[in-house]
Amino acid sequence: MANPKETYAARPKRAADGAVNARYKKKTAAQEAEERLAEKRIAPKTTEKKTAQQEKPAAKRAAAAEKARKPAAKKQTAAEKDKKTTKAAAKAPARRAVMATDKQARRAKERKTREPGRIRRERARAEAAMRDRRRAVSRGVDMSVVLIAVLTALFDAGGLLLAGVRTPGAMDMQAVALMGMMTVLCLLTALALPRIWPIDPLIMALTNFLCGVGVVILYTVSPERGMKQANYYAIGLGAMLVMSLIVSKVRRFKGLTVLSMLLGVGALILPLAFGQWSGGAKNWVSIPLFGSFQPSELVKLSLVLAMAYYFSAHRTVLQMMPAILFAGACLLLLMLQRDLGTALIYYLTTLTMFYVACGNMPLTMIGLAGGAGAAVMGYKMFAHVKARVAMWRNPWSDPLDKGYQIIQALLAIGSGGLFGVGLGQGTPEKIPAYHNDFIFAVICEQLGIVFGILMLVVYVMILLRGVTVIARSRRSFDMLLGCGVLAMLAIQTVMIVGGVIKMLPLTGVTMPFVSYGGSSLLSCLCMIGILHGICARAQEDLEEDVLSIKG
Amino acid sequence: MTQAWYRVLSSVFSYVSAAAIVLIALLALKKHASDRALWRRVRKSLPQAGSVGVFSVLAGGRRLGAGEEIRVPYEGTMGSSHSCDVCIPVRKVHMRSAFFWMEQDGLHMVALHRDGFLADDVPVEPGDEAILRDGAVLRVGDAKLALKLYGSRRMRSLEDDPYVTTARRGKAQQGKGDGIGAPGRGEERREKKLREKQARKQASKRAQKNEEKKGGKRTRR
Repeated sequence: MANPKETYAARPKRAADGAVNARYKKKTAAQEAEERLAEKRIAPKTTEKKTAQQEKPAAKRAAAAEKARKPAAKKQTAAEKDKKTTKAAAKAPARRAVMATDKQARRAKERKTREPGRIRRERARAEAAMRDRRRAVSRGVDMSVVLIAVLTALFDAGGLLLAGVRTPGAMDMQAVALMGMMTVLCLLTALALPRIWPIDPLIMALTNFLCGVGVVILYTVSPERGMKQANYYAIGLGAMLVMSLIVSKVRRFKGLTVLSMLLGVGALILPLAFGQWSGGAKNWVSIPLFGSFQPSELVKLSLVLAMAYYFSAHRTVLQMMPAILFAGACLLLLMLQRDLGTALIYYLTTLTMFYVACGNMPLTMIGLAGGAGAAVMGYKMFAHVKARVAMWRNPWSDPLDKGYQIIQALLAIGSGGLFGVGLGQGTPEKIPAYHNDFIFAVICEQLGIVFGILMLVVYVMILLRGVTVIARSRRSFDMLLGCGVLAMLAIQTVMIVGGVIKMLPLTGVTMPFVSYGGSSLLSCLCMIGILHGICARAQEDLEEDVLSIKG
Repeated sequence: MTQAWYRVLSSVFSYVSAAAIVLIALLALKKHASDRALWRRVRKSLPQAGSVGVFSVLAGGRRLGAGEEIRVPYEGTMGSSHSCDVCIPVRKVHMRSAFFWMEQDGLHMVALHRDGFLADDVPVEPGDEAILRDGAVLRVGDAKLALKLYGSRRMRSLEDDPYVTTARRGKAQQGKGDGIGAPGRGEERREKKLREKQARKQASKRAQKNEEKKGGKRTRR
């Protein structure tokens, strides 16, 4: 007889033999019958119980084998005196018992592990689905977002620290304080806030990055403006949170919409009554103790809210009339203020939302044609529009006066090269509106065109993420609200970047999140707050769905 | 710090910031893609998500057979038009028959067309607001639909409120729900015009009949 160790080792080889295979086949047929029974029941718990029950006799048999081994060993010691044949005869029953118990244990193990394929797959699928649901509902922050937030904090801290050590022999403590503030705000809003309130962490992290770039660049060029911009950023974050709460918690928007429409028209009348002309437009109002602000930036929110409310009703032109009339009134007031850039943003956003709401292409095209007609009229009526178009076509025709600004911006972008001249280097002060309209040129000069292009990629990412958020929402009002916000941000970004790189005529609007200006930053962060509110609502809906399915 | 050192550091910073923004863009793209895939999987595993229940068709037409189910979203319009959220392509169903929205007490439905609809055999006229609960049977044109609300949206207790509340008609006309407007004054005016037109037609018919009668009498004489 062979050694038991040998038989153990040789078992897999023997399994290939025909006789053993036949035995295996018989076993598998029996197993298959059991599996069929189990499949009919489709109760994985019962199969588990079964295997557990089957294991018990196997264990008993193993214990019996152990007992059998001991007498066999005793016999072996006694047979040392006898012949070798008696030894083998004494060992044989023990070996057989061991082999039998091994086989049974293996069979039991196989039964346990070889669960019916369909059930196994279904269970795996169900587990994966549960895991996915848990992940979708959880408020945890992803590793990618953590990295983005950390990189943003490092960028802000590095930039402001560099600005702090710029003056030889002295450390700018204001820059250090600002560095601490920006880092804390950035990390808090991107990492801690999503755990408390279901905002979208990716949009928040990317917005923080853009705002951080604005603060750093403004601080290196003009520390006073940088400080102010950081304060506006902090206030804007508060406003963003309030807006997100309003959008996610308020269920009846009618009163709010009517109120915002009335306030919007009133706010747009203010500059006409009390404003002063600056840069060819009368769109600023200065209020004692409060400071100056641009009402048209804040009315953007009213416009989006009104259109989302009235356009989500039944999508007939008559029912959309209040919003269309409000948009018309806003456009008229902006034309009177001669703020044509903002008027263009309002107009294109209205058209986009109209098309999204009703899908009426002929009417949208008529609206577009009407807008083109109005643009031609504006070109013929207003001298400053004519001048801007002329400078767009050929700024070198008047390089020292009207074309000076755009020429300086182009030179700044060119002198920056691929990776820029360095933070705080170059001559951004040569561009008259370097802090608001032409901040993109300053960024390209200091940090390079690669950085500038990738900043545009970040904008695109915000828009893409916004589209995903609004696609998740289940109410037409939410969808239209988000759509209006995204359209407004996209149009504004395209208009200003196109204007700076001489792709479009310059319209004099700010670059969202980056340009200097409290009103602009506040309205942009409020728009992001609207997106967060929509996201929170979609998350609540999903949680409800998951709970209802569990129930 | 000397000017030369500052120059070196600032140029290093510009390179580092370019690398950082590349990383940020890539991470954002990765997060966005993974999140989209996750949501797609979740939506796939939750086929009921996004809807409050289904209308199961008890009697339909050629294009909508009995036994079919139509998902009911949180809010929207119902009618035979493809643009409606609940599309019922059955004979005698108006393009936009009604609009609806979900509330705590049930599915609120307001008729838009003058034909209205029947909610549990109670006629609902334009401007009336019907509150449909789980199991309510709706008759629109030739279609007969039964409402099945999903789990948590089923009503806990069926109160004895009437299904159609005329008292809430005013509220419904003012607009209810999230962003849902009312039938609007345009609809009202249209309905009013139609009623006036019908009244005029009836009046003219009556007048014609009277004249015919008079004429008949005269001829008889």
